[in-house]
Amino acid sequence: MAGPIIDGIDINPNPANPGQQVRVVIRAHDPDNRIRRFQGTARSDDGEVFDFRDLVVQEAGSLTYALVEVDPATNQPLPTQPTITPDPAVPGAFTLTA
Amino acid sequence: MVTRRFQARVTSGGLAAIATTDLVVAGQPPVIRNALLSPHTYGWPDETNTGPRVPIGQLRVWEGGLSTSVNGEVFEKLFVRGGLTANASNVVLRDSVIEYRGTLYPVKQSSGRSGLLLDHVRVDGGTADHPGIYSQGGRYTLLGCDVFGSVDGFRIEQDDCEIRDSYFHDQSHPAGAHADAGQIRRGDRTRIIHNTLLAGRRQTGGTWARNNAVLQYGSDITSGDSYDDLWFIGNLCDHGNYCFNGPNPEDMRQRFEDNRFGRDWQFYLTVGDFQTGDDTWLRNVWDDTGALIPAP
Repeated sequence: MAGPIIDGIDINPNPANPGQQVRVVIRAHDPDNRIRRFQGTARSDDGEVFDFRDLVVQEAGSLTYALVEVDPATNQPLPTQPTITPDPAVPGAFTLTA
Repeated sequence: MVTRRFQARVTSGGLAAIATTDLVVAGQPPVIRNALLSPHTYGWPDETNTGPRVPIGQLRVWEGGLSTSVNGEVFEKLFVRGGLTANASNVVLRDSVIEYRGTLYPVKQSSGRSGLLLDHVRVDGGTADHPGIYSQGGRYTLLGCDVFGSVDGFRIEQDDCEIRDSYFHDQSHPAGAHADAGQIRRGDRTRIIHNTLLAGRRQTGGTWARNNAVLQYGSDITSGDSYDDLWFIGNLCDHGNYCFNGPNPEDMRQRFEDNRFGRDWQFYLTVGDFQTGDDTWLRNVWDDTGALIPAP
């Protein structure tokens, strides 16, 4: 297992004005993920036989995303974190206030 | 401009990846604490950045009171050993000192006159038992002035006065006086912006004795006058029995925004009957912590 890879982090807008809503999107993938395609013959319980091809199975470990604000001098998380809200519809996307 | 750094962490199957990115926040003001200890360090007025912008030794000494009846007359670089009386409109006194040792008004604009401008003037009212700046006529403007002595720093009784970038402190305190950094008895559209207003007098050893209020206002509205559309914005304030002391009728609008307050009050901050409907109280903070102060 190679572990996940972060391809990039997008912040929009950047620069932002104080108080402005900012969207952060973490782009990442897991190199162990792969897609397998199958073809062959299958028989149903009642004896019916049929062929299939291009049965796609995606092997993917689920990625978990987290975002925190850190001290630029030490890269340690700030003791008091701002409100960072994940977007439930888009894995890896967050909103916060600049 | 402030840079905030965020750290992203992505995990899968017990393994993690971490990366950081920076967010640039434009125009973010620097964090300020205890500006009252050294106002000029943080851009507020004090004795280092108010008063004449030339050395005192370069000022021409004017013995006795200075008065004029010429509209629009401009005086500059004077050290006046006496008061200023503007018997004309649009008189300007710039980069000068008023050293008044009488008992009345160090600076007075006469009845029927308007538009007096004091631009970087030090007004030393001595122990005068009257306001340092007073108009019997119309509006006046103070810019970059250092006002002390006198029982009150300024008194406003007319519309459209502006007090900006000035320093008020160490009012005189004759027996029974209610000395204030400033008073608005009446007058609409007053603008009090980016001043340091200390309603107290320094004592031996560096402590302060409180005077009455940073801003005493509205004392004449019972006679039908108003002080509508008052702006009190970006000021640094401390000392005094009250910070603001006055009534607040529902039809008179006030804006209190971006001010910083010390803690030396006898009765805290008092804004009589603050009306959230037509008044605003925004981003006012304690000077020592920067914590927001809720509307009174």
